Amino acid sequence: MQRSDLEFHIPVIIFFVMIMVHVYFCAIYDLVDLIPLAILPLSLIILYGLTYYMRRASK
Amino acid sequence: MTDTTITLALVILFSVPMIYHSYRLRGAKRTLILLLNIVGIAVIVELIGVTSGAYTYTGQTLVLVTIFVGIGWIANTYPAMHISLYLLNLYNNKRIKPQEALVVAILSGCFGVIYDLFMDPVAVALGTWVWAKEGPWYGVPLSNFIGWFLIIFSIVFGYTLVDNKNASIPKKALLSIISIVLGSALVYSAMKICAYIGI
Repeated sequence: MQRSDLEFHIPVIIFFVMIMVHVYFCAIYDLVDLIPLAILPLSLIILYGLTYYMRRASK
Repeated sequence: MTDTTITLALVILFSVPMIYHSYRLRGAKRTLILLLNIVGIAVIVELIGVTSGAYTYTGQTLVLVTIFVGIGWIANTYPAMHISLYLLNLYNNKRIKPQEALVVAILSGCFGVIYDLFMDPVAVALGTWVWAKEGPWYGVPLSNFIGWFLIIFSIVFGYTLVDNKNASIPKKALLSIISIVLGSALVYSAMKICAYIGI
């Protein structure tokens, strides 16, 4: 992945960090039952990643 | 550091890369129009929400809430809009048609809600904000998610329409202000209906 390519995906990288920060807070404040909910926003990142790889493969 | 300082620091830390990304992709003027749309609608709607007593931000003054939500909604809205534009393959130099803008806005609103289904229960459990009336989703009322959808929908739809118009920057800023007023009115009306039917 080139630098410009990486730069284009900044919002998704930060979005992932935002989710992980919330997961971290859940872990340290004993809110473990809320951690599985993280799969909801993470599924968006998975969908984004799949689209990225499919487009790259079709080039 | 206090909890408020940590929250504000995180909100700024998450929003700055989004602004940078928009600046690199759209340039300064178009980014300012986007920020005007996001901050305008978010601040108006959140201030109405806080002053109506629907929820309170723990330990924060009205000024801090304004700063917090103004910056915070950049981090909430931008990834949802970016993912929608990318999935719909609309990141090209062509102008986005109004019907495409509508699809982008609906998808962005849905993506925002999907994120909030995780984020809001965590924030409520941590006591970042408190709902006056508890709801069915881990204490979060359904009206919150309707609000999230409509806020992001209004921002993205308004911005995309204005951005793709052949007009000068001052005219785009004026159109954005009209869009902010209409978007805020839409969210406010929906919240009133939600309060009336009790969700």
